[in-house]
Amino acid sequence: MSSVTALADVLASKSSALADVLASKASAPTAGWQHESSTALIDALPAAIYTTDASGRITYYNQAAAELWGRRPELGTAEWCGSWKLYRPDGTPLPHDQCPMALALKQRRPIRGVEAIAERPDGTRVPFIPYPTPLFDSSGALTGAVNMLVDISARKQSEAALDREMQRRRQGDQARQHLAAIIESSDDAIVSKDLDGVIVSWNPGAERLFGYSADEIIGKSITVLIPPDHLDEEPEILRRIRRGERIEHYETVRRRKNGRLIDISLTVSPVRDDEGRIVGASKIARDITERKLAESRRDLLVAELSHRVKNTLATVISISHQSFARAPSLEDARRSFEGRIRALAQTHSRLAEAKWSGVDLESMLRDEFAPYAGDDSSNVQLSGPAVTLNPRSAVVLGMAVHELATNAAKYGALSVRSGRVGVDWDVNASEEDRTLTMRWTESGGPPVTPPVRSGFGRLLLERALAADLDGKVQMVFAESGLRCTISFPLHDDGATVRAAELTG
Amino acid sequence: MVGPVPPDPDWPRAHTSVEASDLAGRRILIVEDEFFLALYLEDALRAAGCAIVGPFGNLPSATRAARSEPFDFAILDINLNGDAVYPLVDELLARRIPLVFLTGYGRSALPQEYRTIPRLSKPCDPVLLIQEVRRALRPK
Repeated sequence: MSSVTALADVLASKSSALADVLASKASAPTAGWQHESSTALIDALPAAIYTTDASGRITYYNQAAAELWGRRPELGTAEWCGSWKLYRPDGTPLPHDQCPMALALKQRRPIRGVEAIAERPDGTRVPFIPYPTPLFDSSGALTGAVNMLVDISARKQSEAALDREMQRRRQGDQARQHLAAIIESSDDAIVSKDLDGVIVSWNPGAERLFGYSADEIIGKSITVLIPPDHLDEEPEILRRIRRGERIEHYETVRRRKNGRLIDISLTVSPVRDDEGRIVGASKIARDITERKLAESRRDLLVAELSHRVKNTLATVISISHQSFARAPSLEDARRSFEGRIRALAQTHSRLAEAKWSGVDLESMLRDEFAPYAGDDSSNVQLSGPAVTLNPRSAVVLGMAVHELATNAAKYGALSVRSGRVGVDWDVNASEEDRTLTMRWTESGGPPVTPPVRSGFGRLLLERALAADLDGKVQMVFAESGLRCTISFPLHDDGATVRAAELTG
Repeated sequence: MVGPVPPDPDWPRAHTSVEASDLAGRRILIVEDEFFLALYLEDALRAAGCAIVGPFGNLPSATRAARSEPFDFAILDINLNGDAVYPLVDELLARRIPLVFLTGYGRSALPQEYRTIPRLSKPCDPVLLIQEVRRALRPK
């Protein structure tokens, strides 16, 4: 713009002569050849130029001015500016008597550094910069003004284009920043590599998952993450990436910096440059160790459940064998067998309710006495502290109590109205162990004589409790009623917990 | 103490095609942590004429017995109240004593090196058990 300003200033400095020329041309057409050639010169300039007299009436304008205005105002009538309408740069209307040319005349000084917009009668608008300069005669009296209007449409258009471009870039940058933030904050490892498998970028998720910082791994081969027995995967992945294929949710194993192997799910996509050439790959790796662990836990539980079912069925077969081999009659055997299996099932129900954590001793006893307890339950007295039996103890002691209770109902204290069974227990804690001692005392029943044959109940009490629970059982066949003392250590049941070690 | 169940003439010999007397006096180590399962094995083996070493319900007592008492064949439960029986298996394999696993676990749940060992699934058919013992003890 400086050259334009200079031109305007030149015009202004030559003002007297020029104004004379122009004024004379406008008012008195007595131009000499010099005048003619000056007017022709100005007419030929591409800049819009016009002059006014001291009162602001337009006395001359050139061709470029007429083109800028889109009209040919009447000389000597039109004031201040030849444009049809004027606006300020912010789009608000600018009255002609407040336009820069009017100000220059009124304030008797050149106006610089402002912009305005002219509207043509056809509605098109032309942004321009005016250079209004008042003109004075040799005595210093205001004679008029000259104004040059510089069309800045092209500049405005390129500015707008530039603005749009800047905006687009800002949006692009914003989108990129968003993406960068997403990658930064992702829990997944997001890594890019070139077609040789050299790591190019590495997000904090990758740092957390694999243990390497971006600084130490960028520039290294992706194979540092691959355990030796999975090394053949990488060439295949790169081959597929070069073909433009995407690899989705590929489950594999990778190695952390500390050497620990982790289960991951990989998604690998080709990365293309501006021309669409594949230049590398981006990989998203998700840690699926937890899921794999849950799957193996589930498999273990299924195996454990199957094991328990089979063991239980084997126990049922054994109980059946013992029941039928020892009973005096088939009917007796059938009844005993069914009762034993029901007792076993009841313990399993209690265990299942407690998710196999254990069974409360008192509730187990109440279950067993339920069929024999009188209306007010006064024939059965239970007393002792709260004790939780581990699954193994619960199963074996449950069967033992079942045998004692059915025996009492058949031959002992629960076979008559006056009979009573008392069960009391306590727990002795020593340095190494807690031992449960449970005393079963029958009274008020028929006189007791020691049994001649050893039945299933005694087998269970005398051998099973010893074998399975490391227990001690003392039976006294007192005439007043059976007394039985059972004691065994209360271990935590390690069977389930350690089952994992068995199967590796 | 309660004695063994008197041999039942119909069980399990009635189901085997060969006379059980060929197993008479053969000593069988039983390692099983559940009393009723062990009892069932005892009864089946006694009915076939075998003598029983055990049963033992935990690894230390089973290992002690295996080192001190003579026996011809071992029937081993794998999970002994939470302890794996494998250390004892290694000893028996080293001594070339034939054995069979009796377990509720599937073969795939076993560590690789023990998968070739004969395995009977619980609950086991006494006929198959006797067959397995006979096969293992047959003169080669």
